Amino acid sequence: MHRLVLPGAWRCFSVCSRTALQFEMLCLLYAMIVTLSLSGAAINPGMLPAATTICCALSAICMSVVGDGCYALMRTLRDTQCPGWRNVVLKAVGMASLCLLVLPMTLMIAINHSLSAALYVAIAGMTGLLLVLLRRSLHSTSTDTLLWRSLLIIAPLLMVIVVVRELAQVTIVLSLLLLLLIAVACRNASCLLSRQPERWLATSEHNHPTHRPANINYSFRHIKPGVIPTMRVFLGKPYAPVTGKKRLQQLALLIAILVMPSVVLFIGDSDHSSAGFLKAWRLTAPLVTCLIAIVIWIIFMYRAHAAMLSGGLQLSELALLPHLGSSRKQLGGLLYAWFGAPTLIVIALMLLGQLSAPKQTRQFSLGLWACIAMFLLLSISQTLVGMLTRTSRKSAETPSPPKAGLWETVIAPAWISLWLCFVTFSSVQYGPFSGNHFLRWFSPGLCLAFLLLGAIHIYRLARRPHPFVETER
Amino acid sequence: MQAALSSRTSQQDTDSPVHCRDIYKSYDGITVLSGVNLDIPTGAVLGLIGRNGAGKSTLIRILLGLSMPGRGEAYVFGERALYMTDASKTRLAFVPQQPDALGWMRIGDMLDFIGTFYPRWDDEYARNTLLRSGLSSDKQLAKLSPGERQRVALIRALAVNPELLVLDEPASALDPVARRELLREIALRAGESGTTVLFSTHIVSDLERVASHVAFLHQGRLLFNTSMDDLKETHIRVHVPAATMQRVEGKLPGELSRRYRHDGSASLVLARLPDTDWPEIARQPDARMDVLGLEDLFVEVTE
Repeated sequence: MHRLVLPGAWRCFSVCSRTALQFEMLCLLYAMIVTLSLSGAAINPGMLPAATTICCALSAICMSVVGDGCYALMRTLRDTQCPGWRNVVLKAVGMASLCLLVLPMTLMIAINHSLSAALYVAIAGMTGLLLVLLRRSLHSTSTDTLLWRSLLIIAPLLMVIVVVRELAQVTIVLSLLLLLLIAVACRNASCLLSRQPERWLATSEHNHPTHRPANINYSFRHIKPGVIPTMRVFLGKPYAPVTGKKRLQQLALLIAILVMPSVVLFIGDSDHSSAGFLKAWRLTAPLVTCLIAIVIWIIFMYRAHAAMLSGGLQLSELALLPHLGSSRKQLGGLLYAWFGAPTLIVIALMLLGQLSAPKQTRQFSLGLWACIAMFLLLSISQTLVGMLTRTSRKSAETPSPPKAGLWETVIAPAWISLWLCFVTFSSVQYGPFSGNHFLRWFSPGLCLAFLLLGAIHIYRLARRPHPFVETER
Repeated sequence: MQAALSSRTSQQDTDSPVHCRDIYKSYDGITVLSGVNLDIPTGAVLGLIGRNGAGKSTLIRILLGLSMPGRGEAYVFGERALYMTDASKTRLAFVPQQPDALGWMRIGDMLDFIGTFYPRWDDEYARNTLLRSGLSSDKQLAKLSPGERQRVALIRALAVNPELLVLDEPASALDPVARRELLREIALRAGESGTTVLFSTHIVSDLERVASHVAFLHQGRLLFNTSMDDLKETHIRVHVPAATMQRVEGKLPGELSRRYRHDGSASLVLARLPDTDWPEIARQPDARMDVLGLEDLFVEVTE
């Protein structure tokens, strides 16, 4: 389990957070999600199970990250060699920090989220974080970085105050936010020890359990030149054909991530019977499946985007490879490889989540899936537009491709985010397919519009000499 | 001058592995290529030279059917480049300036994978050259330096045993030793296997060392497209004294550039037009004719 969950969580974070600051921003985002969901629960008690699920899922991730950070710390302590007494002091301080970080975790789970354990975690986490921030602020010259880090401390505190006023679930909120702080502190300490201010220690491939040993998972000699396998290889790692063993590992990782929040909830619950686990599963599964579906979709699209639309010349090489058939076949293969696997996974997760949801939350779950479907359709449409308007890469030798305008960078994402939030919360109140006519027709209408747009883009791509040709915008 | 050179180009053998006619291309209203005609004779090593932003990469991409021209058409092995068949694709190899594809793969895996597409893939050559280059086949492509990546891309292209090898600034990221090896390999391929090579560069010394033909691209127009020997024979620099210069009225036929010195004398770069002799001023007893190096010519034309 350790070897599956920790690398999984690390990957999940490392995809989104290349630098320490990005990692902290991600934590802040998680804290905001928690606060929002708990505030929602305060307004509407029907949302409480959903809010608890989100908290559990996030605490599971945080715990994995903390564990991962501890692992990195241990590795560093083992490998660090400073001259003379500094080595001893460094290792002693490191081990003490490690104990300070690991013990509260164990205690907190053992005492079942009691306030005293949470306070212990608070002291440890805050101390670690403040020490690291103090140390780093002395060396940091970037005002922006300091500003963001200050926000990172202030924002969760403000959120705690808000939630405490609104809700009785103080312990959960507090422990969760402190988990986040510990995760950040752990990561920062790791950066500090590795003497790479903006690098996550575990990003060194030889210093992490996710380091892939040679000659295990990938083999390409067996792949026959065909349009779909080729497209999958060119699209990047998540798409690439792998051996059965690797596929089983991925499936096990997915199951582990799915089950993890239920396990956390089960441990924290007083009912330790099979019925208690089933209850925990029913409570967590709908939201966890939603979160996983979004993360999986983003991972796939991120890789595909990097491979296909980044302005690089990767498509060109694909265009010159023989044995890929006619242009129609190439386009079909590309679209199948690009969207097929992620769509199937998302549908499977949706079914699983929907079937697991208790009857009283099914409507909420359905509303959430409607939002996710809209988001996915929009992203398909956007990537197709990106492919249609692909021009030569930006370099000194060719004129710069047109820069993304205000619409693409600010207005569209802001509008979409607002809309998604609106629909989500409205669907909680009314249900997406119930009395409210606006919600009943607008969401499916928008989905249909995105589908139509996607079809038009595909038609335009199909009319080209080959799908990978660059054209003028 | 441009018309004369263009007509000379169009008289060349149109059965060449790559040729294009009247290519126009613009990006957002900025013209990048304007009426480009190019033929590459079979077995030639054509160096495409031009300043940054001259349109070399764009021209290469159009020639290979990777980019759609605004007007005109490119042909590869007699087929329209945009609609190339598998038969033609197996006969050509292309090395982009920044080989980004398949960065997540290890070198060995990538070579294994790519090799399955080409019937004439020389696996032994690929492995041996990789070993000679000191690159481990277990290394991930994305983690290589730009120079190493370019070397891997070159190995991949040469292992295909192509009849047409297209290289977009192949030496830009290479160290001097690797660059020398690359040029030697290009010369060897062209000499022994009759491979037609098209490579773009702005390093004139590379071009002089290996190219049999040269094409100058300047501000989206092809100024010259001729063999290296012809180019040297048909272009000279003439130093004309002030007294003689005073008798010159207007632009001379085939004159590419003129620079005056403070004493009134001038230095002119002249191109000899087909079936004509040098202009009379160059044959004056007080005028001094110098052979023009490729770099000098490039600078004179483009400045």
